[in-house]
Amino acid sequence: MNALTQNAEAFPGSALEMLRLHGEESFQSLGLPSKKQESWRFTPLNRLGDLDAPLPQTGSPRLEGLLIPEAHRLVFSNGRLNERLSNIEALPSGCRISSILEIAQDPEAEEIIGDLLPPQTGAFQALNSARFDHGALIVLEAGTRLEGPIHLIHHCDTEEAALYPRNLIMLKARAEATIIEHFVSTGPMIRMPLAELHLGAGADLHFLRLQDEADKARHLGFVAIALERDSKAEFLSLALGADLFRLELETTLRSRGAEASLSGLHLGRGAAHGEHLVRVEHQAPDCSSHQLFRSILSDSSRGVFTGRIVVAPGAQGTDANQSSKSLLLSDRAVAFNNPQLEIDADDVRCTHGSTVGELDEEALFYLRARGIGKEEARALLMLAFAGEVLQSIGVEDLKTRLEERLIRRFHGATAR
Amino acid sequence: MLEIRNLHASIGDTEILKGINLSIGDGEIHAVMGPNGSGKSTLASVLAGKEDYRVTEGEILYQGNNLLDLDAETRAREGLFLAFQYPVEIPGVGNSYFLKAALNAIRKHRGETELDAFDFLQLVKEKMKLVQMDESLLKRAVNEGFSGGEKKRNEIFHMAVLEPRMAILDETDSGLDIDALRIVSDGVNALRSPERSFLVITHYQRLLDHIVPDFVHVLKDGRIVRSGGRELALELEAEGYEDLHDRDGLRVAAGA
Ligand SMILES: Nc1ncnc2c1ncn2[C@@H]1O[C@H](COP(=O)(O)OP(=O)(O)OP(=O)(O)O)[C@@H](O)[C@H]1O
Ligand SMILES: [Mg+2]
Repeated sequence: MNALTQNAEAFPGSALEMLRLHGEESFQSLGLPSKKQESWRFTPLNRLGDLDAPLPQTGSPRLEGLLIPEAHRLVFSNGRLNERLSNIEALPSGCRISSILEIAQDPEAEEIIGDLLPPQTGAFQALNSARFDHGALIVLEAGTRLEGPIHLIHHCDTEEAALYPRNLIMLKARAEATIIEHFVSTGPMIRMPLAELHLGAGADLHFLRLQDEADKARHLGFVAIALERDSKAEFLSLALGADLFRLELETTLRSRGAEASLSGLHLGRGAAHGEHLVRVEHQAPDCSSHQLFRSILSDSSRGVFTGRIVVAPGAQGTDANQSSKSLLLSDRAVAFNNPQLEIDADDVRCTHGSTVGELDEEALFYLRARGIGKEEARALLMLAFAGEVLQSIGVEDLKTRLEERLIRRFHGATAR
Repeated sequence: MLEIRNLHASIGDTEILKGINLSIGDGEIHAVMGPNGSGKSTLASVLAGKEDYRVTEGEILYQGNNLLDLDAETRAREGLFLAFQYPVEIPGVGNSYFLKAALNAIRKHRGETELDAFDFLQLVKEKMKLVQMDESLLKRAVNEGFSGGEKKRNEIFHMAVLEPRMAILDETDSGLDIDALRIVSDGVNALRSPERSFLVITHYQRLLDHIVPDFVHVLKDGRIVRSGGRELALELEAEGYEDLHDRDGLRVAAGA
């Protein structure tokens, strides 16, 4: 597993070095965002904590119940690649997976790192650019179809840590892959991951982003997807933990015929804040985008969904839809759903719908009147609410595990 | 089986049931008829344990126990079944998954082993034949997008699978075509047994040609105003409820 060796120092003047410098400068000039900025209006940034916590001790991750047997796997533990727990031996030719720190060996990747989310786009994108020190570089050559999913596990088992992982993923023309990125932690660490996903013409990517952080953790993520002609991305964000969670998802349909399906499920409990901030930009004609976001909020948790659809002039034949729904399990829980449309073309089909509601009492009674206990009936209705989003998980075994997990969690979510 | 004594029930400040007396013996079929808004569905809901209704007076004994002490699910597990006048659509919950969960909750309550997927499927196939229900309805979400008649058939199908002791059918005949009506009635008749009782709410004497009741009661303005044998249904069909009230103007405490 020599390719995984991560101690290769970046050469001065290398792309990485430049990105870091640029990141540092941008962060200094931008400063931390404030609530006055429209897109940070809802986020309780005071919960962010120490962004400078030092790299923690080497961890001893417990991965039971997390592993997917048939997957190609990279495991990062407390911000370091763990080669012993990783397994990428069965990769076909045409598919390379390595530490992001090895990027100098791939000039093409080096060329485009930072293109989708350059440091000047925001303080935290800049911070990640300055500080990232682990993550995956995944490249699929044209026409490569990967059997079995790629599983990236980010595990953290220390209390105090500030982690800056970064992925660069390139699917060249007609390449196909399923990638699962899995964040797991046990304490109140802060994680600020950034990922750039490039889809070449006709490429097909399934990406499941599973945020399963500790309830006290903070997680601010940034993902950008760029789609070329006739490519297809199915992106799903499951947010199960963290006291402060926010994911900015930026999708650009760059060329005719591209299609992006973006979905998300956020479960909030305690006083947690969770936020999906989605922006889809139709730059070319005849592209389609679908957004399906759900949140289930108990106790005094808060869920925010902001979904912006931008249709550029000339993007005729655009088909864009968006649906956001929140289920409130407590009268102290709050949901904000903000659809935003910016349409500069005339031949456009664009629909959006947003609802905030409670569990359907009639349905609850119907289930109970057939003998199903109140708790179980509630859990069933919650799972049904989440179901639309979970449906798109292609890895059956993982889907079943997640459903069972959610059912158990829903059983514990009490009404008030 | 079921003994309702002086039952008063309200929703908010409005009293809807105003002193119902009704006694249903083992194996009996009772029909309840009455004008729209008279409280028939309210009675059914109170029996099934809907918490929106407040029982202000009276009591209900079910198999000798106080029914009002039990929550809705316990009543169902004890063998009480309500076929809803308006079956609820539940997107995202599979009809089959739901029915299996219900059946196993009931079996568990009775101290029986839970059915596995295979045995459940066998049982379900047999019962589907009974009500001639299309298998595709089993795979869909509970009642979602079902036609009116399909919903009613689904209710009877649930009943056939769950095998209740006391079944309440709230206007299960409404919205059924003639063939469906016969199929549903045949389904009910097939379940008739000395241990199983029925309370059949209907507007139409036609249903009672198929499901022959032992007793017919007329509910009006929250009270049972008249009780009799099956011939009462014919009389109502001919004369309507207005006449009935004008002529009798009395309250009859019903009972077998
Ligand atoms: N949740 C409720 N809120 C307010 N009023 C109600 C509620 N439920 C029932 N009622 C009222 O109680 C009365 C009895 O209603 P119910 O549904 O029991 O009538 P019904 O005899 O079943 O009528 P139908 O033959 O039309 O089905 C009606 O006047 C109805 O409007
Ligand atoms: Mg009614």
